[in-house]
Amino acid sequence: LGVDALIDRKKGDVFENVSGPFDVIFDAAAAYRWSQWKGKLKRGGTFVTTLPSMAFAADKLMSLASFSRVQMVYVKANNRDLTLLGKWLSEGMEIPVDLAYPVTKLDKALSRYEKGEFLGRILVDVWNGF
Amino acid sequence: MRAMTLNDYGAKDGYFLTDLQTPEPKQGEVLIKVHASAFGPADYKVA
Repeated sequence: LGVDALIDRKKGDVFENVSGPFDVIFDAAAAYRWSQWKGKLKRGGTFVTTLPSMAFAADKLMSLASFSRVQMVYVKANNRDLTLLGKWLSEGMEIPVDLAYPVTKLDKALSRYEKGEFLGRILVDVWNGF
Repeated sequence: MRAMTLNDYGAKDGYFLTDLQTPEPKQGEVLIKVHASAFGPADYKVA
């Protein structure tokens, strides 16, 4: 997608370092919640998370009485979602890959995930992996 | 078909290379050949 500005979440207070306000805040890593970011959203702006959680449910309720919104995006293996993904991929969308592991080394993929700090998806090669 | 199976929650015993019976697709279903998959939050929660 490209970036205009990059903020290092490990340097200082990430909330202080981000100016805003924004139309949309997309939390692809599901690392934050709406209540933490609502101050950085424009009136009518939306915080999008990617994980169904109690925090999301609570924020969803709380947001009803506020000027911003919270939504969740979760891809389902159905015709509509897969067709849309297929379209984006055929149009050149690229998915960053951190590392690929043969399926027999699933424990290594698990450790990599546990460690965090990965950049892109952790890939499991099934077809050539046995 | 070959599979890596997790026999219990917690992955404390690790994954096992297993031979499983290839599923037979029922009416309205298809059998999918998996080339690659991603290791994500859902997989982590199960393991």
